[in-house]
Amino acid sequence: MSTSHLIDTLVRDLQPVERPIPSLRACLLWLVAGWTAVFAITWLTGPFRTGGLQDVLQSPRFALEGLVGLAVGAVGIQAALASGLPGAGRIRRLAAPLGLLVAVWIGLYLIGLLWPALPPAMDGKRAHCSIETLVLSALPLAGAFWIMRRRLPLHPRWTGLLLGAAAGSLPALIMQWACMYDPAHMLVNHLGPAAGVAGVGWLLAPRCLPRV
Amino acid sequence: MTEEPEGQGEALAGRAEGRAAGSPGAIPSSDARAVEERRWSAWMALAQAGDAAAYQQLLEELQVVLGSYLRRLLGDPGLVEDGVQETLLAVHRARHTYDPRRPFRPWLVAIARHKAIDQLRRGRNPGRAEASLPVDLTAEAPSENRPEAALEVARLLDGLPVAFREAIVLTKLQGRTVDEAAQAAGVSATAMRTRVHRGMHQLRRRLEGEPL
Repeated sequence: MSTSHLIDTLVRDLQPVERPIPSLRACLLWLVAGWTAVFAITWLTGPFRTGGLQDVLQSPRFALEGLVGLAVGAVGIQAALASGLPGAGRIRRLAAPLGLLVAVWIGLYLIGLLWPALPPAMDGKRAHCSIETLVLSALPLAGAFWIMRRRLPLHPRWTGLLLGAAAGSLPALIMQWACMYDPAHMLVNHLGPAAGVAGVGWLLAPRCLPRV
Repeated sequence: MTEEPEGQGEALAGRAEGRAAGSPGAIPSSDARAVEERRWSAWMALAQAGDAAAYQQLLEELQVVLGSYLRRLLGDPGLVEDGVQETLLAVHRARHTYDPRRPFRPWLVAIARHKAIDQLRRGRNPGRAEASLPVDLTAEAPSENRPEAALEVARLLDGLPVAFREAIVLTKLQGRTVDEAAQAAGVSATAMRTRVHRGMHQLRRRLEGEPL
């Protein structure tokens, strides 16, 4: 087929199209819906650590761990949404802030192994928190893929990784307040599964995301 | 809006001058580029609403610009023709992702570059007879009919370490399998795979610096 013929075909095929939801709105929507859903399920399925939320006010380091976790979700979904719009930026530049935040989040817990933000305690211990983190992330991950359906990522695997990291960070963050506080436990049972969810996003992306 | 926006003649004249000077890839002046940019953006906004006339004009202009861009990157006229068609198809599929509040060129470049890299990755498969030829690094240009295109490919490959150039020439331009290329170069298949991967990575970085 000649290029002129192709152009004629494309013009004949032209239909009005609807643009994707703007990134900021989609990001806020996803964060609020995902965070609310995961928090509600975690609360309802219990147990929820006594004073887990008050600790935020009492320990600045603990509050910082939570803030960084929140930022991982926000920056991750924002980067993934941007990566779905051609020309919005190179994928590595979009992913770099997330990488930095994840490193800071892990770093805070590593520091916590020696100088914990709160005295480690078994209060709130959930029997299967690592599995819960994995299962609870399915909802925000599915939502994130749904939002991405009207975007066209040029690097789907990277976008999937960003979506997975953002989705995994929501239950990992909520477990920070719901489950027992112990930095080693957080790293292995909350951040570990969240990293696994990032891997799931990487694997699912080529099948679940639209391609150019 | 299907009328020619103000300044279109100037923009086209800029491109015509470039062609008259014998340089199909000539880059218009910054003023002409800005006018072109606004025109494309307006046409795409109209196309998103279903205006076939604006879309036809846009695709016809893009065909010329993409041809120049991809000739600089790919060289081989066959690859360029395929690249232009694939990029136009991708533009058609991705048209809903363009936000008229943003510049058009980065959006287009991201898609065109992605398709060019795809083309390079797939390379050519000129037949088994050619595959039996000895390795000749001076014969890597795939554009036997167009010396200027050969120069462009050589320019892109120039600066890559010899081992990476050899790997790309053997696999991507001569169309050999990794095993065949490894045998020809006298290295293991694993080493050849690594060289192709790293060579493509470096080539991609060079392509990213190419203006439209």
